[in-house]
Amino acid sequence: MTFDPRRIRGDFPPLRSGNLIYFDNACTTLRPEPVIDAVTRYYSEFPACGERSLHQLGRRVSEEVALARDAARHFLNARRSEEIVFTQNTTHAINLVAQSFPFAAGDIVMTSDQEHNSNLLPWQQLARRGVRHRAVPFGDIEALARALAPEVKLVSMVMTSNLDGASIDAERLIEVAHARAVPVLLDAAQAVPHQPIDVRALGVDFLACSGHKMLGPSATGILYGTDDWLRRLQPTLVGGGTVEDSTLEGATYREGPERFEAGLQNYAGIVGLRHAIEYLERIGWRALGEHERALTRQLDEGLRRYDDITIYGPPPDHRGGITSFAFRTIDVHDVCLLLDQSANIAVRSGRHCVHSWFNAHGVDGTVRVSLYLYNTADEVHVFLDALANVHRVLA
Amino acid sequence: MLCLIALIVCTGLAIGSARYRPLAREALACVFRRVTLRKCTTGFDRRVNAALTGRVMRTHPHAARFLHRHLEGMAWAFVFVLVGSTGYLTYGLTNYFHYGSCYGPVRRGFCIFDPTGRRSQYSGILTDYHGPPIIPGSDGAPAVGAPDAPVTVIEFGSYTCPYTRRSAAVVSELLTHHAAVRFVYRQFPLDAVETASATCAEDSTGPHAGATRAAMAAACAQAEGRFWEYHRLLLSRPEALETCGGLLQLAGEAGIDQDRFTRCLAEPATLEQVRRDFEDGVRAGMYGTPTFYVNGVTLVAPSAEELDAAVQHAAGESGAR
Repeated sequence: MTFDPRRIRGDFPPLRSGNLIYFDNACTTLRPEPVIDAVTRYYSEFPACGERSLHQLGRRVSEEVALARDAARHFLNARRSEEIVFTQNTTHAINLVAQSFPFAAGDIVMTSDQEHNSNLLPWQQLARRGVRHRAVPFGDIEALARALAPEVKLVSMVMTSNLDGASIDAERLIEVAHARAVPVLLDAAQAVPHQPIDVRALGVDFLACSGHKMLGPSATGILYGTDDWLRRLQPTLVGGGTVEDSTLEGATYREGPERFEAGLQNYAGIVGLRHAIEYLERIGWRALGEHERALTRQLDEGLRRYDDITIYGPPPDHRGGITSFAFRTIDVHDVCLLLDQSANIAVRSGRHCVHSWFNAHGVDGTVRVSLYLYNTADEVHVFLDALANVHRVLA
Repeated sequence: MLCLIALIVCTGLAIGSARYRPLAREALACVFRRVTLRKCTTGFDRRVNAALTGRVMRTHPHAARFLHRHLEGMAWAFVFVLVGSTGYLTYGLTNYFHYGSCYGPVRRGFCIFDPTGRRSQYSGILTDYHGPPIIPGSDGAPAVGAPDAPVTVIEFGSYTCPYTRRSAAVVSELLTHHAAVRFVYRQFPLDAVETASATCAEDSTGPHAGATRAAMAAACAQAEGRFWEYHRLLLSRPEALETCGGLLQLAGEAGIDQDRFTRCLAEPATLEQVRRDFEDGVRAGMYGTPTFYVNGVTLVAPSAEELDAAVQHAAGESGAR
């Protein structure tokens, strides 16, 4: 499949009118027609229960879920489908690990100081069980290595920051942590949509990502866990679908990922997620990466013309499609609102759920432009023109 | 103050649609913070500003810059105008319910509550009496009906007032339908008993010029025992009020001796008689003619139905007593 953004745009209904410029992909991406069709197909053709009902519809759901799990396995290059747990999103996946991991009082969880609330608050909550949370500077592997005391039982780090698109050296991080026999959980919500992830090559123990940030339906996510580690987790959200058998005294839990998937699942979403994965795989990572880098460079060049601007994060080639900036005397929310109202351009403003970093650095917030495969150079050009108008009004 | 305006708008919309209720709640939170002298943290005012500025930006970037910077000030101005107009509305409503006119007891004009002007059918006058209203009696004024009738209707009128003239039909209907009513007519000349207009020596000017002179002429007719005939002529022939000649001609038509009539008109006592009527009206708190007192209950320029209802009510009360 040749990478052609103009042709790709035709697959995304909101973009067909040509009136919308959608630059808020780090929050959630748009969904292509194959994904929308797959979700619709579930509701129109086989809207039944999976893993429970023996009728044809039920069997069809189970088959589709199995196909989706295998697609996710292939997507992340996991060893077995059983290492894929479907969740609602990255937040859910991280909370699942936080609540199920065999921590003991006095244990420590390490994160960076630039974590999304979803990879911060779950660990802070563990204080109730006597588990402590410590943070090291984002991307500083040496600092992490120094901080890896015997009490550290888990390292949970964001792979690509949703704040500024900066990525950590995940391989080195895992190497350092494993050298101290500490498992690693990667928050890959912003990494998975933009680059090929090979969990086996990385050797990561847990990896969490969201479907809605990679063209998939809302309320879909993946927790990858090695077979060994998933067995050690004690499910905390239990109920229908998680057990082989139960009595009034106890239950026998299933061996596979299903023991973490309590209750009726978001089958429509899971089916749609498979099609999102297949869509991304057809696009090709190299072309996507080059496209995003070219757009980010164009954007960066346009932004650097302003004297009163601060651009956060690494150089444009290493931002994973995300560019965060702020003007010295202009409120970021005003920029966002005026871009939306005057030019129908969707960007994000604020602290992007990384409040702790903004509070620590005394920054009020940023405007975040996050690009994806359907964005074009023309759109970046229009954005820069619109931003110039907004700047004239607000400065 | 954008949030205050938004609160008013969104509250109105929220009554009909749940879609606007979160907005109304946000606006309320914003207003509450502003009223308690804190900054609005909901971002609501900012969103409203951006929505307006963004739309203007598409076509008028310079105007958008001005709007964005001064929208808060404009909103304050709007709020002041809103408060002012609300106050003015309240004033107008109060006037309407008290006087039948948005403008109060004297002035008239277009009134949104009474677009056809059917309620403000009186001619007004300002007086400098600020004491408690003293309900007037008959005081020797011309009257029809039994003196001991259970209901007494006193009308204060001015012959130059078109609404007094029109009330003649209302009075006629009243007397036809209610035999047990005593009707009294008293003078309230709308030129406020201006001495100059009371004489025939010179012509007076003004909207109610000659009102006192006509009232004096009616008093003279009363002295001749021909009041009601002359009264009807004055009400039906307003053009005759303009000159003393006209009044004299009507006197002739009413069968009044014109010499005695002319002398009577020049008598200071006649003027004093009219002035007593007028001052009784002033002390009653009158502001326009025709004003009726039905057993002491005031009605300004009532319709036939209103007067009828008041008389029936008064008759009922009188019977109950």
